[in-house]
Amino acid sequence: MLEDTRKHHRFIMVQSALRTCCAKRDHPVQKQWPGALSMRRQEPAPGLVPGQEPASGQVFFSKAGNHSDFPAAFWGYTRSRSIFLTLLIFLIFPGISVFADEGTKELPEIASGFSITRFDDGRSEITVEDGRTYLVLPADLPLPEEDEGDTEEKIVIRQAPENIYLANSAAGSSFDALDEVGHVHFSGIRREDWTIEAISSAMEAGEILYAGNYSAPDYELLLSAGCDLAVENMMILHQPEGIEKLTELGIPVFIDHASAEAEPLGKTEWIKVYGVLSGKEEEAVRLFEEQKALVDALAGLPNTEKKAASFYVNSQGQIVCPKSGSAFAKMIEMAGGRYVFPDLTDDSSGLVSSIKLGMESFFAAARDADLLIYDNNIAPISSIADLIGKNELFSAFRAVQEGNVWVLGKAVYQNPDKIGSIVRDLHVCLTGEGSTVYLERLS
Amino acid sequence: MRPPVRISKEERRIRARSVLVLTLLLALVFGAFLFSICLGSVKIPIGEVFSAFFYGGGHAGEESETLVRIVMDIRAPRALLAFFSGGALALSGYLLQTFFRNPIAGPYVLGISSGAKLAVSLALIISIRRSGSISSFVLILAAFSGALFSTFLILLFSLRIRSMAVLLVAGIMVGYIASAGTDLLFSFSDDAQILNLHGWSQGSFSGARMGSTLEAGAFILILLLLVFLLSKPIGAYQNGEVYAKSMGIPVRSLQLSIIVLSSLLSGSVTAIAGPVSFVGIAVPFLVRKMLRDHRPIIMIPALFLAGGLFTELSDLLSRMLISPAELSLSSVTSLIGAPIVLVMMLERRRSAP
Repeated sequence: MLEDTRKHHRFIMVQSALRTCCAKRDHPVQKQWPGALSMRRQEPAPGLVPGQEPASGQVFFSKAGNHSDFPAAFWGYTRSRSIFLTLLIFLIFPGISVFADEGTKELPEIASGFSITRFDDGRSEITVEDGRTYLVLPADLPLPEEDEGDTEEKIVIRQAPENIYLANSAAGSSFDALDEVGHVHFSGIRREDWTIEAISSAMEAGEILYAGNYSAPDYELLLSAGCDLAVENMMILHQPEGIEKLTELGIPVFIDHASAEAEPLGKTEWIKVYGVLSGKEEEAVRLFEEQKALVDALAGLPNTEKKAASFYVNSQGQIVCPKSGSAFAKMIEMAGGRYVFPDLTDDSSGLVSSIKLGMESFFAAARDADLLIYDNNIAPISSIADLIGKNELFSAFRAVQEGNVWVLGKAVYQNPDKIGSIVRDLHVCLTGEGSTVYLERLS
Repeated sequence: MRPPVRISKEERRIRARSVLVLTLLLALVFGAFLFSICLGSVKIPIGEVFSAFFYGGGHAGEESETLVRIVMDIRAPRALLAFFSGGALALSGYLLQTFFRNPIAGPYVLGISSGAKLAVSLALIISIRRSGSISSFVLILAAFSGALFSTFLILLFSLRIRSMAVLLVAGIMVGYIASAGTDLLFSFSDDAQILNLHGWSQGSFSGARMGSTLEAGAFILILLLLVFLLSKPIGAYQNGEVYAKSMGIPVRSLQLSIIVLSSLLSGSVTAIAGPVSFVGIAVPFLVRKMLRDHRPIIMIPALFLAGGLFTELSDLLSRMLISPAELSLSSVTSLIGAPIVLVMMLERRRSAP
């Protein structure tokens, strides 16, 4: 309501300024929009009762209802005076909407979970699909007045955070790629669970401390060490008291949604967000374009039409597969293969990217697959014999018989900034030409 | 003028013991609280902790302010919440044991925690699908209503089932049904939700904040007061329904208030911290052992203090043993609580003819 009233004030000011500026009937504005200068709002401003005298500041202008008697009649019309008056009005009301720095909003190329708005004074706003808005301020810029009241809605992050608690493995790879690991001092993931060399060696050297799981971090450690940013994964959305507690302690919480991106390169594009946070935007854009180029290079090639399946066997013996349309299924297609399940979905939410199958359904679909890709992230195997040990039926699979079983480690989750390289690796698996980095062939 | 009441030596000894136990418990609770605010992953000298807690910080300066915040915003609310929750759980267990006339009845054994878990998983799945996030208020509300719903079912059964032992089994069945429902829901949820629910179902005071702690504390203290006011009729009820009726106590409404109060107590704790196992069974057993006078008027305050103490110490262990990571609270309470229940059952067997 208040906001509407403010807008109405601004509207009247602009209108009055226009009138002052070009009161002559033959002015181009008046020619173009005949009603423009005599336009007068009949309805009261939102928030005002009809007949009620508007609030101060508005009185002066709104009384000038008839444009002919103000200001020309009152001041004696001269062009220079009216220009002066217009400038004065614009100076007095710097918040006037035509001059307000609305910033330039930039939508990502492929990702759909965030947008970045940049302002002239160096601040940026990152809006994320969960509705949270992050205001990233350069170190020396004071909090803009208009935002002082909105700290509830906007999460203020000072650039560049130097004491980060990192509880998101995918973000770790962005920090690594941007050479920002030196600013991460706390990890929500244990050393042995990192595949990113820079982070695990920093943890070994004691430069990054394990500060407890995302759901129960060591708050006092973070507070005492002056932690200035917590980078969380989406799971903390189910643990709201964790967000509330960190916020209460004055630690801004950034929640990365890269894992929810449907497009593989959309995940990679989140590096741009970390570019904004760390002030290395150009570097981030360059890294993203690099990965994109790797995928684009494959785009021209014909599809090999080879069928590939990706899965792991969970502790109950069920086969867990990526859904059709999930990022990994798309990566197989991008690499020039066909995902064995053309239409594997269920009615669960879009956030769930995998589906559990019985061996029977998996056998039916993937027996003839040219390639089996085992996700070694949860229940790892180290040989084809291990796979057959999980279920003897695997020995009847064509890919097993031909020795075309590959394993994929945590790389795919911890290295979203390497999606292009992983797609290239998949292409190598499909064609058998070249060497791989992220996939390993089982013997 | 009333004739002077003669108190026998034995009686005097029993009373002295009660006073001693209550004083001791009070001192221990206070001691455990001090321990909790002094210990943590950040080393803070005891002097600093005390000045932070009692005077709001000794000297000015950023470092001192951080210490004050650690003590006042992180350690103190957590210790207080653990105390209130433990007290509430012990009391809730005691009330259920009174109602069912069975020492193994407790909020964790009956379906109350499982009901809360089912409701929380439903809330998680629905709200994550709708909006992608969930507020802690919704989680608390869900847990609370789940707990109350389970109790409501047990109450419904009590209309038909007269035998308390059978009713207890019915309560356990409600728990099984709720657990099965939760498992079914898991088939429709992703790994992250399962992981979170698993974390929730282990109980934790990790995210305790002063504001919500004080609100929960006030709520629990009001319930404690209500239970305390009922101590006379509860005492009569413990001597049998017939006796209670002969004393003019409306047994049916007493039963109703016992079970409602009990589920409000355990429901509020489950809502705040997730299910915490065994406090409700182990603590009443321990307190019965410590006291010779088992009248509710002594038992109720003693139970509240002992439950608070037990949980406060368990929470301290859970966060200190593998710091900076945390053990789940239920593992600690079960590890200490379950052997106590075992000993209790073995002793009963031995004393039985």
